[in-house]
Amino acid sequence: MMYKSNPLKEIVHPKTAFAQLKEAERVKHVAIAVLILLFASVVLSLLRAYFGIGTEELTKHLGRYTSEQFAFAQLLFASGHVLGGLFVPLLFLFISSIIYYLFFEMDFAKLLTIQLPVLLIFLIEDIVLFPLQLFFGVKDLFSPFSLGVWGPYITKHAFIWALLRNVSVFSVWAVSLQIIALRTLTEKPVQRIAMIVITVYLFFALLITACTEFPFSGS
Amino acid sequence: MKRWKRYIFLVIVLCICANFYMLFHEHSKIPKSVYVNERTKPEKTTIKETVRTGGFTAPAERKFVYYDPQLGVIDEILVAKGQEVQAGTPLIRYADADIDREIQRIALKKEQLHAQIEQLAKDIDHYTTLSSSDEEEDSMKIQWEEKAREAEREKTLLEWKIKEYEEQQNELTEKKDELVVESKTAGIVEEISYDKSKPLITIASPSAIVRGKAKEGTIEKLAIGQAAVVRVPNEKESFAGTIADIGKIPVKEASFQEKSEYPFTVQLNEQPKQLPFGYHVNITVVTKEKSGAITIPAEAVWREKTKSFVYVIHNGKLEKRKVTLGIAHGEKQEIEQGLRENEYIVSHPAKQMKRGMDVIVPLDLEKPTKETIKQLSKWDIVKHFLDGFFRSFHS
Repeated sequence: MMYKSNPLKEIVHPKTAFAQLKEAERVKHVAIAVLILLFASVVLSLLRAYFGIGTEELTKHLGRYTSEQFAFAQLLFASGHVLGGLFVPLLFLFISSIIYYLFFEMDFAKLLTIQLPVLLIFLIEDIVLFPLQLFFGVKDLFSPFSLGVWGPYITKHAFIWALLRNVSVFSVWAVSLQIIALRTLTEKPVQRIAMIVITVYLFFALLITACTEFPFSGS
Repeated sequence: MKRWKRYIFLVIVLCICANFYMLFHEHSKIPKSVYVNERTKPEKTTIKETVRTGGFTAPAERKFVYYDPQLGVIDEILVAKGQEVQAGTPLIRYADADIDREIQRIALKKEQLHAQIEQLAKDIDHYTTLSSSDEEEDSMKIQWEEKAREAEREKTLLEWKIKEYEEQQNELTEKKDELVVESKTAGIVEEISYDKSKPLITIASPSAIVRGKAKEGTIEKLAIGQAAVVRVPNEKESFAGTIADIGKIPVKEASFQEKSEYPFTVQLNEQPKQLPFGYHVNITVVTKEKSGAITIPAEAVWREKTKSFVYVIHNGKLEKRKVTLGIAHGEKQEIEQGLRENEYIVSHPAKQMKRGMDVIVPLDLEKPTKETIKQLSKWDIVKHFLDGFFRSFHS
């Protein structure tokens, strides 16, 4: 039997989709789905870079640079952002697939297929956030769909805000989707799978927080 | 199972609502960004404060000719309204019946005398022929000659009388000429009025001035000697001038409801040839001029009640700064205090802008030159690139 990768279907009917995936001998259309998702991610990054979303740190240099220098810095940011839009999802896909491969020793293509709807969920989050960022000045760190909003009310430490930011409706959705998928595919106890998935997610969360919050704040 | 899901859903929705509230309520602690679409730097320029108002062309001077009863009754007005007159052009002729009668009488007398002289001349001829034909009789000849001489004398007497009358006639004609009033200046007959309270003839001088009016609150900005530019609506041509006079009495009678308007006069440096009098024009008066003034687009000023602010982008954050406004001219506004030349400000302030917000600006698509690339340190280049790269991580 053959399974056609379709992240949208996997999001809407995860149980049936993953049951089909389990029975499948071959998985098709993975590359196409990956390409489509990457393309969407790049377009979104382009849009964000164009409107300067996320350039709060860069704007601090506005007074220091000449207008040409600032335009160049913006261009650097934009090219970094677009490249990031391409590579970050790609890295996420492969690193998480590899980690799960180490834990569960499943077919790699199937693991990759599982990561695609997760990626789609994060893309949806970005798309939903985009207008809020542009028109209402909401920062990604304080997405109203996450616990990030609570940060400034609880503590002054920006690192903790960034960690809280990782707990969002979308991340809960993504994590639970992964648990459902891995459970369906591996038939291992749900507690163990949940623990692994959450740990992996937290690992990613810490990594991302370290990457985004550390090197640039206050520079 | 389904019920359990429904509760979860409800909790999530409530959480999101609470988050939105925490994010957007009045005293929210959450730092926010603001998208600044357009920013600008103040300019150091010369700014003028002007007053714009309307006016019309009017003759620079008016000469009035009044009815003079001593000269008699008006016989005829020799000019028409709108006619151009020169100095010396006759305007009015008065009539004097006595003189006319006298002239007529003299003319009659002259005619009579002429007739008499003619008669005498005939007589003389007659006597001379008679005397020359009567050659034999000396006494008769002497008699005729005597008669001819007598007639000759009489004729000379009459001729003298005619001369006298002619002199009288001349005198009277001169007197009559004095009854014609001539224009003393060149100009245009503006009005002919038979109303006794008004001048009979009004002559407008050909040179024009511009009369304008300005409302109270504006008129005090004007001063004699200020430069003014007069423009004919819908035409490129403009005339320079200066304010020559400012009226102290309102154009219309002052009323309690309306603001009073006061007249002022602009002396033109050059005479507009084509413009007729009473033509409506726009007047722009430069009331103040300041060089080296810090100016910003008027739109960039954010007003709250009586206070004025500008949003300065300082160190990547929004700073709401109180400023003192100076001269405003067109789209430009001078900032007297509170702003330096090199600071970026927000071009279009909005309600949601608050002090301390992080500013984000759209990408300025511009191809960097080699020099610009050199100017940035390698670390800066890497830093900005990585900053962009890592901003792609979203949870």
